[in-house]
Amino acid sequence: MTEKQKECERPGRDGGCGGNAAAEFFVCPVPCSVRPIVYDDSACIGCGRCAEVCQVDVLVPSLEKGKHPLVMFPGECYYCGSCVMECPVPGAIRLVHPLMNQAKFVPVRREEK
Amino acid sequence: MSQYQWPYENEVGREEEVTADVLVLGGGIAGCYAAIAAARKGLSVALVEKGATIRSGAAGSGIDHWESACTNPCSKVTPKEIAEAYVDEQDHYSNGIAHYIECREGYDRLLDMESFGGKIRDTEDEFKGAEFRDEETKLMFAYDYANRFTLRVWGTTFKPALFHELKRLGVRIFDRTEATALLLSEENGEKRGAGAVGMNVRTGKITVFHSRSTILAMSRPARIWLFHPDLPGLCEFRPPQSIGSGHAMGWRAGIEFTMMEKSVKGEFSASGRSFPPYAAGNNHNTWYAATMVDARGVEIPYVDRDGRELSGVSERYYPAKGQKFFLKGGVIDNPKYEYRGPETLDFEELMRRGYRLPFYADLSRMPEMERRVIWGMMVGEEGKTKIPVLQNYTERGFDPKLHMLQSYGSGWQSASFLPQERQLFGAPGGVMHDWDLQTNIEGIYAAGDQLFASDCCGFAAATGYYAGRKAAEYARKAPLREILRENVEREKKRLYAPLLRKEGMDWRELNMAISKAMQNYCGEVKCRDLLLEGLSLLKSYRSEAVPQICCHNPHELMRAHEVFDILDVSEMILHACLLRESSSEPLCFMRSDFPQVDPEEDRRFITLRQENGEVIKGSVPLDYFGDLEAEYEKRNRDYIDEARVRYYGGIGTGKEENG
Repeated sequence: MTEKQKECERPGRDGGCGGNAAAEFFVCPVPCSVRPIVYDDSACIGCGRCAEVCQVDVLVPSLEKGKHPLVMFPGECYYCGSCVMECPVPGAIRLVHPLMNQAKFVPVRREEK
Repeated sequence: MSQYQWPYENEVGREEEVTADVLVLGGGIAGCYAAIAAARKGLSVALVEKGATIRSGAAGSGIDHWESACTNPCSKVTPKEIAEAYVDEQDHYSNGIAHYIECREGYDRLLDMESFGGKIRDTEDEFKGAEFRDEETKLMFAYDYANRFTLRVWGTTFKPALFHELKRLGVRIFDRTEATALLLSEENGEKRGAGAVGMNVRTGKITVFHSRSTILAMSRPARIWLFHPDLPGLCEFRPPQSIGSGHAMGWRAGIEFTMMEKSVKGEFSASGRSFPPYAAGNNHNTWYAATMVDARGVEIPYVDRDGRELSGVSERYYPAKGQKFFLKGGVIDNPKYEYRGPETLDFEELMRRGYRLPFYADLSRMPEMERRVIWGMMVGEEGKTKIPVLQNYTERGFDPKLHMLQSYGSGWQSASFLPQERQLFGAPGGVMHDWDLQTNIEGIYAAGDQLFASDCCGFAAATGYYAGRKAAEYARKAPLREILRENVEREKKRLYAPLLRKEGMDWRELNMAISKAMQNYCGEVKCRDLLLEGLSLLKSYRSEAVPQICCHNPHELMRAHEVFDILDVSEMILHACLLRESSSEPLCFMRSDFPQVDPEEDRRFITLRQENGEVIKGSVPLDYFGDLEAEYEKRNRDYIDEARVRYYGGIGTGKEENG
């Protein structure tokens, strides 16, 4: 996908209810406090299967052939892990809960009442 | 701000018409089974799913146990016993019809699943010899090991198996297509289902679906009280796109709902006050009956319904002396004595006895089979656990033989919500229906989470298949009804409006405002003036904020319409709360202006629907469904005969085998 560094401005559309099929859509990534999904560029083969199975549609395909999809809507991620389960290359895509949601664990303790 | 070119084609303004005998809206467990049932009858079926059917819905990434499979060969209970127990346990504010269907046909759906390639038994003998496993059938059980009616299943295999079966049967699947409106025909003042409008959430293309019958199989509403603009995907238990669009379009079309006044204090919202489901130490549901310990490592006792302390792990899975069976699962919170199963000692009592927080789940003290089935099978096969819990915690170094996992708060949700932070959970309201799962509008059926008082995966599968069967029978005789062009045009105008604005408000701002309004005006304690104030505020959002929402692409447009649907559902909830003029314990409903709790005259389902902009109230007796077994058998002779051959080797139905 090519990034266009320009001010986010809506392309013109006609006023009819049919919209304007000729107008281009754009997307401006929404800043998000977390990174749920991280790709390993060297492992990903760019097959795009992760984007195809994501029911929330948080991933959008790269316009560059062979590149991994972009995590365009990270805040909408549901952390189901379907993208990782679908990935044919182990380690190419990682999904991790936000830090605040990683429960604490400790070595077992044994004390009798 | 940087801007990217949208990678999908712009198909705004393009329109396609699709004709099918049966139209299924929603591609989760209920929708998939509905489509399979109709396709097996030889009818043409179209299935419309906003996400990707192969992994969509609440059970998309998995499901670990299947409740009320009462006809499995090891079951010691009958469908009638368990369905009637559910109705009684929920003080008759329960969906007896749907529960009976679940208890009677749920196991049939599991056998279907197995034939599609899903895994429902321990074929690899990983748990050979375990107390919860039947050595002959290799079925594995959860909760009540004596009565064996809840099965442990390998649900990560389920949605892909259903998806491939749909393709094999020739069901036309419209993925990434959001159903937005029901289309009705009106003849002699009688409304009937005629189809629906869908919009592609990547390209903006409109599809007009023309059908003889239509099945609503979408989610229950969500994000009504709970919203987090930074992490909208974690606000609720179910997926973020599952926000109740089916309820909203049903409400707009005049479909009748009930129990919409019921809401419960939040149980899951991992964007803030809780941990993700099954990701913290606990002893419920997926984690039943994990050994719990306190901060010192002192084991927390389990007790039976009479308060007798249990010794050993095995006893946690058996009914008390003199009790036939116990109930556990999705909607069973604090069951009546009759159905109460083993549970850890009450929290207040633990505090009195000097147990110390925090508590932990300590699987190291459990027998190996019980430890491995919780951590590795249940945590692993349940949705949202294989990668983010099992795999990630293992990578972080968690070993269930060496570590204990912390529990937060005192309940299994590991959460502490405020009373006004509410959710539609624990058998919430939904579509009112008859014994065919048909709505008040002829030709429109409902299944799964769209039905009132729904709960789990087995419920979704069984009611989905049943609705698919009934909708197919209807479609055989029904004509394709006329779709008025002006209705399609009006819907298209509504759908595209946010794309036509150059600038405006983001969908998150409106969702946040609605959630705050619902917390303020429809919180724990309700009263007429507050509810009316809430309606007035939401009305102002409709007239002032909705026309400001601006979207840059079809994905944002999908999110915007979700929030418009949330607005519709919020209004329905406020109206439903106004209509019940008393308080109710089973409905978790408190009115400060009507404090009387469950007066006899109000022990009824209050229904509501819209007609010409007016809210129409109705009232239905709690046991309107009659004797569950007799009424079911009267209406399903064909299925009973077919099932006997297909699933039970021609030797009788599961009921007769077990009864």
